[in-house]
Parts: sequence; structure tokens; C-alpha cells
Amino acid sequence: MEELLEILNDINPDVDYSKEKNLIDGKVYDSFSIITLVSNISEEFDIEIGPEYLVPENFNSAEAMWKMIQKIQEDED
Amino acid sequence: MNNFKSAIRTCIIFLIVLTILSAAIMSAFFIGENYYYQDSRERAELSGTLDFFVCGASHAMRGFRPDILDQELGVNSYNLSCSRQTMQGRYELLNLELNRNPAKTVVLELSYDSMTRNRDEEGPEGDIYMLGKLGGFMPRIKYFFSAIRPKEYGRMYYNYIDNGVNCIKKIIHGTWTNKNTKLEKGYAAYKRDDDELNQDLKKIYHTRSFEETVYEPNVEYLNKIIALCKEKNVQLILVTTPLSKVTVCRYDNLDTFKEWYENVANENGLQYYDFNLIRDKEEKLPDSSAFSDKFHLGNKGAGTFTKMFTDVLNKEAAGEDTSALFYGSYSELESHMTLDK
Amino acid sequence: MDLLTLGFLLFCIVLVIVYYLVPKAMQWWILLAASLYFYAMSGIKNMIYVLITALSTYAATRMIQSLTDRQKEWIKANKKTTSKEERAAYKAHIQAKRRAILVAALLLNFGILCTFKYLHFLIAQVNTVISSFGASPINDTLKLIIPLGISFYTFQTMGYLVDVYWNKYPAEKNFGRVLLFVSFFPQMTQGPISNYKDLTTELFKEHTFTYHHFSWGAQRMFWGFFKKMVVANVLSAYVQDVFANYASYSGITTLIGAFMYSVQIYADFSGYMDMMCGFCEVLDIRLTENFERPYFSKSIAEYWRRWHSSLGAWFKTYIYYPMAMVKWNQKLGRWAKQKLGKTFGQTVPASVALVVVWLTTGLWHGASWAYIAWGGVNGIFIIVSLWMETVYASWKQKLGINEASWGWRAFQTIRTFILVTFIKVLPEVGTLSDGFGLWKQIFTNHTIPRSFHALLPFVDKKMPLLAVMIGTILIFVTSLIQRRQPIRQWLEDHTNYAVRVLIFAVLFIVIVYFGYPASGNGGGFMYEQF
Repeated sequence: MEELLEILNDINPDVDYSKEKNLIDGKVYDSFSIITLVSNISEEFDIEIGPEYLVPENFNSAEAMWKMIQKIQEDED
Repeated sequence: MNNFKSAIRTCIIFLIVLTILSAAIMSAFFIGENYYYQDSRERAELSGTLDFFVCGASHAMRGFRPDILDQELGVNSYNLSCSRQTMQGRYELLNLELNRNPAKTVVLELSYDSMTRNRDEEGPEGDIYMLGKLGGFMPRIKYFFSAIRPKEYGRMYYNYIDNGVNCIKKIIHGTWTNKNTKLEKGYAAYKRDDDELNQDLKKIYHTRSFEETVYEPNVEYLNKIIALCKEKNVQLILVTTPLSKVTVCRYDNLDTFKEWYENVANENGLQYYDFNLIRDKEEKLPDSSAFSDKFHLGNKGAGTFTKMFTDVLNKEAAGEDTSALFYGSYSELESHMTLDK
Repeated sequence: MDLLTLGFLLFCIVLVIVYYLVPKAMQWWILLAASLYFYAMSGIKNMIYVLITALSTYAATRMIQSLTDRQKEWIKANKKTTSKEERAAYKAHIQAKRRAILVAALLLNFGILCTFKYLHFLIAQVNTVISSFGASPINDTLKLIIPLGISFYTFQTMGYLVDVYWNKYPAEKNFGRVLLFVSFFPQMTQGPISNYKDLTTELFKEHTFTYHHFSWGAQRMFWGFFKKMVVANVLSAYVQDVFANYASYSGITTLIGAFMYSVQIYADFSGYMDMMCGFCEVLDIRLTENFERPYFSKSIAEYWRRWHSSLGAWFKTYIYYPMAMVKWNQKLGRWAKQKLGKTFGQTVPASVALVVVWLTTGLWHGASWAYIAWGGVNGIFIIVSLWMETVYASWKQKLGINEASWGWRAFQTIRTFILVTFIKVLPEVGTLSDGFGLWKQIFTNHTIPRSFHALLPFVDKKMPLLAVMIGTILIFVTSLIQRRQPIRQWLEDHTNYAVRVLIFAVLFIVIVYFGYPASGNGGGFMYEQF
């Protein structure tokens, strides 16, 4: 979770990731930031985030992202 | 249910408001300078006194001067013609007028497009004018539903709104009058506005043809007119008004139409005159002064032509053989015609 | 079927009545019947392409779905008895099959689309190459009439296919429903391009007639008609004249023509959207919005989120993200971060994706180099502003510019509108060189027109021009109001029922008076050719 928060703060340090639940729907992250975020996550956690995971529900909060990362890691088993 | 009722109620209220607004805009047109509504009122005033009618489309509207007819023939005439008149329109007007006037003679103008005029291509133009010329609310409603097609309703609505707005503009500029001074017992003079009458006749000779496909409803109404005149004991004379020399030279099939109308005349014991073929046409109705455009006479030409027409009628009445005054066909005419200006 | 006729009006009225009379579960059947009828009226021969798309998509999605289900079951059943490698191999095997089906269906449907749209263009390019070698060019005598709305429904349907491939939701089992999704007639001619989830939620829910929807829907339709028939149609005549004759007009006149084009195409396209969305509102169906006051945008990137946004969303979901995340692009990005520094390096995958998106967007709009160039120009602006984001931020700080100030935002909006106008007009004049010619005329011709006629030589009668000006002001004012609340809400709050009825009755007459003659040359709708 810490690595994830590090990545997030690197892209946009002005957000309180423990509270923010609307990163995508609230347009806090634009499409470019999302791409940067996804590529950093996949590099850091060595997973492939397929397009099917690119839905707002998976990225609206740090918590949701962490859940998604764990699920992908499980599925790749 | 409530929702539905509210929706219906709003639709009805909207339509009522729209009707009132539209009527308000159109009213200036209906009570104002519009030719055709004026014409209808004029005829209503003269009703019961008219004994000679001319009926046709724009060729006749621009070609027959009632004042000269009255003077030369001793009649009280009226020119019922209007632009883009259809055969149905001619019939309806004659029906109206013959029933309220002691008519003795009807001159029916027939030309190259009277039988071929096709509703699908031409649209409701002539019938828009007809709605003005008819008298009374019920005849207009009846005519509307018999002549105008549903797909033309939008066009008609636009036409009346447009005319209404134009009248309102005139009211604002102070140029609106409710007396149209252009019409004289149905005749409307045409200003010369077409200098396509300067053509090299040799170059354009027989380069075009008029449409020859007959539109059946036109034939139906022609027969109805003939029957109506017979029933009312009215002398029916069929006439083709003169066209410019440019037109006679350019189009190669005018004999077709002449023959059609000759057949109709022969079959029904009527007189038919094609004034393109009268021998002194070129001398008396030169393109340079008698015509306002390729198909219509101008004011001067109308005067001359009406006199030529009444001369023929008077000669006929006196028992002379008027056929000698005309060429027998367009081929004969052209053999006597020069193509040099 | 021509939208602006009595026949279509009758069709709509009958549809609404029948739709609300049938049992709610059958409502979508009525929509399907209406859509098929609508399409058949537009050319029954072209229905075959709609059917091919619907059938191929239905078959492909069901096959993909069954493979996905099979894989899940197999994994579940064999999780304990197989090794990780065996499971991975099985997954790869199934995945290969799924991909093959996807590719086949995509090739078929996009193949049909590209043949209709781009065959002539391709042949012309091939001929250019061939004749440069001295050989004789291919004879291009095939007259292809593009089936109505093929760009829109193909994209929409392929989006559904890809969504199923991506396991976003299960494939639809009912062919009728798939067919309705493909052929829903309000969206056929000019979009919006909806995604499957949103549209089907609306289409297949139970619809109740409410006065509110009826009233608001009808009001929106009136407004759309006004924009299209009065503003767009009248301007169309002026704009066509400028595009044909700019070489003999002054720079100012040409510039006015360009701005008129911006207003015209907005009024045309958004007017159509209003008509269709309004009609759907009467049917208690919400369509995706396509426009959100685009000319108030402060940057080109923002403009493309507000103009034809359903197309932008489609490109984002199905081209931009996949392209940006594909392995080789990600590798390129990592390489770029190393070689060119982090800030610039991390823009590389996005930039590559943007190039692809914009060239294809250009191509979608038209089969010519001018449109490709147009797409490229838009792309360049967006990519450059992406690169320069941090640089711009520091410039603004140095110059002490307050980004939130009214002045700065107005500057950004006006600047964007001018830029957008110039870019937009480029492929519309004719060929690419005609477009450049128009630009050149604006900048190099400094004649000052000395009379009304010299300034606006294409204006014949004054009243339509007045109507257009008032219409444009109305559009602008309603847009300002719309930032805070829907204009129909504003009307309800600030006017009473009688005034509203009067407004719309007057609007109706205005639409007929200005729209009827202008519809001779404005004819159908501009985006209908897509």
C-alpha cells in the first residue's frame, strides 16, 4: 500500500488519498495522469492492468486501486 | 392519466395560440393588397352582370384586356385567369361564375403546358392563387381539401406566413394599401423584364421540345369544362395565345399541341384559334415591343392582341371565313418565316 | 427518411402513442420496429449492412462469452489438480481463441466501413503512386453510396464487442436487444455514440409517460429545430459562398465567413442532437449528451471533451487507453524516461497514443488528406500543450497571471475559439490547399470593406441575417444560463405557462418563416454523410 501511495503522491501530491473517493468521477485525475499512474503501477507491482480494469470504480480511491492490484495479482496465479 | 391529460391540454392550447398568431400575421395579407382576394371581391361585386369570361393561366392573364373586349364586342367581360392556373382551377372558377352570371361566352386559353402540367413537379402554386380567387369560406375549404395534398401543407403555411410578413413590412414602411391597382377586371399587365428576346434565331432553331406527357386529371377537367358550358348554353372558344418568335423558333413540337386542341374542338363542335399562326402576327406583335418575356405579352402587345382577337370574333359572327386568316400549321408558318432579325 | 417532413412527424406521433399504449415490457419491441422501419425508409438495400453488423456482433460476443465462461469453470474445477504453468497455458489457449473471434468480427465490420468510406480515397492514392511509375491508373467506376449512419453504428457496436472481450459485462443473449442497440434510429444518422451499458439501461427499462418529460422534450426539440433550420441553414448559404469565393473577398469578410462556419456547424450538429435527445426524452429515454457549451472551452484539449464528446469518449476508451498501455508503448516510455528525463519521458506513451487517436479522428471525419491534416493539427496542439504544461505553469507564475481571474479565463476562451475556428475550417473549404488559401486570404488581404455589401457580399436579404444574429445571441445567452441550470428550468422559474406557450408558438412561426426557404440549400444534416 505504501508503494501505491508513493506513486500517487508523485503524480499529484495535493490530494489526501485516505479521504478522496472521487479521483476519476470528480476529474481530479485527467486522462494523462491515469496513463502515468497505470504504467507506474504496472511497473512497480509487475502486473499487467488490462483494459477491462480501466473503470472508474477501480480508480476512484487509493483503497479501490489497492483492491484491484491484489485481485490482478491473484488472477495471474 | 393526469400526465397524459396535461400533455393533450398543452398541445391543444399550443395549437390554438399558434392558430391565433398565424391568423394575425396572415390577416394583413388576406385583407390587403393581395391580387387574388381583391379579384374575388371585385367579381363578387360585379356578379350578375358579367356575360363574357376569359379563363386560363398566365398567358391569358397577361394577354386579354377586358376593356378592349368590352369595347369591341359590346360585352361585360372578366378575365378569370391567374398564374400557374391548373385545369381544375379553371373548372372551379367557371363553375362559380357561370352559376351567378348571365354568361354567353367563355374563352378558354390552352397552351403547350395546359394538358401536361403535372402536380408532382409543379407544386401547389396555382392552387394557392385559386384559394384567393374563390369566393367564400366553404368553397375555399372544399377546394383546399380537393386540390392540395397533405405533403404540401407545410409549403402552403409558409407561403401565407411569408405573404403576411411582407404585408406587415409594408405597413411598417407605410407603403401598404388595401387596394391593388394592378388588376383591371382580372387582367394584369406585365413589365418587360426579359431581354432573352434578343437571340440568334438561326442558332436556337428547333433546339428544344416541350413536354408531351399528358397528365390525366387535366383531361378530366377539360371535359368537365366542355360539359359545363354545354349545360349552361355558353359558347366555348378555345384559344392559344401568341408566344414570342424566339419561342416559336426554339421549340419544335408546337404542332403536337395544336393538333390536340383541334381534335378536342372538332370532337365537341367548338372553335379553336391558335394565334401563333395568324398571318399578321409577326407584323403586329413583334418580339421587340409586344412581348414582356419569351412566353407572355406585354401591355402594348395585350392591347394589340385583344383587338386582333375581337376582330376575328366579329368576322366570325358576321359569317366570314376566318380560317383564311391563319396558317394551317407551324410547318407552314415556318416556311414563311425568316430567321434573320 | 428525410427528417424535416410531415411524414416523419406523423411517424414520431404514432410511435409515441403506440409506445405508451403497449405493456411496458413490450416497449422496446416498438422501438425496434420503428428503428427498422426508419432505416428501411432510408434505403432498404442498406439494411443488409446493419443486419450483418448486428448478426456478426451477436455471434462473436456470444462465442467470446461462452469461451470466457468455459475458462472460468475449467479453472474452478481444476485449480487444485493442475500446476500454475498448466493453468497459464490453458488461459493462453482460450485467450487466443477469443482474440481470433474478436479480430475476425472487427475486420469484417471495420472492413465494411472502410470500404464504403475510404475505397475511393485509397484508389486515388494508389493511382498517384502507380502513375508516378508510368503505369496506367486503376479505373474507379464503382459508385458506392454510404449506408446511413455507418460510421456511428459501427463504432457503437464495435465498442460493445470490445467491452465483452474485456469482460466488462456479459454478452446479451437476446438478438432482438442487440439489434435494437445497433439500429436505434434517433442515433443512427449522427450519433451520439453511446456505450452499451448506458444505452441499454435506458432502452430496456420501463418507460412511463410524464408531463414533465413530454414538455421538456418538446421544448428541446423546438430549440433544436430553431438552431438547425434558422441559424444553421441560413448561415450555410453564406458560408458556402465564402468557401467558394474567398479569393475575391477581403480578409475581414473571409474571417467573418470562418466564424460563421463555427456558429453554423455548432447550430447544425447540436440542433440535431437537441431534436433527437428531446424526442427521446418524450420517450423517457436519456441519450448521452454530445455538447457542453464547447465554445466556452479554455483549451483545445477541453474543447474536445465538450464537442462531440461521445466520439471523444469512444476514442479514449477504445484507442487512447489501449494504445497508451500496450507493452511496446510502455517500454518506449520507460526508455524515454531514462534518456529524456522523467517529466518529458512520461508523456511519451500518451503522445504516441494521441497521434494515433488524432490521425484516426481526422480520417473518421473525412476521407481526404485535408481531414487527416486537420486531425493532425488538433493532435499537435494537444500533444504540445501536454509537453509544455509545466513550462506554461512557470511562465504564468513569472508573469503573475492569476488563472482564476475573469480576464485570464476570458482570454483563454476567446483564444481557444479563434484557434478552433481556424483549425475547423481547414478541411471544409475543399482540398487542403483551398483551406490554406483561405487562411492566407485572411492574413494577407488587408482591404477594408467600405460598404455593407463589400463587407458581406453573400447577404442578399437583410431579414435572414437579422434572424441569424438574434439566433446566435440567443444561443449565446442560453449557453450562459445553462452553466448554472438547464434553460428549461430557468424558463419554469422565471416565466409562467402562458408566456412559455407563447414563446414556443412564436418560435414555431420563426422556424417555418426562416427555415422553410433556407432548407432548400441546407437540406439534410451536415454530419449525415458520416
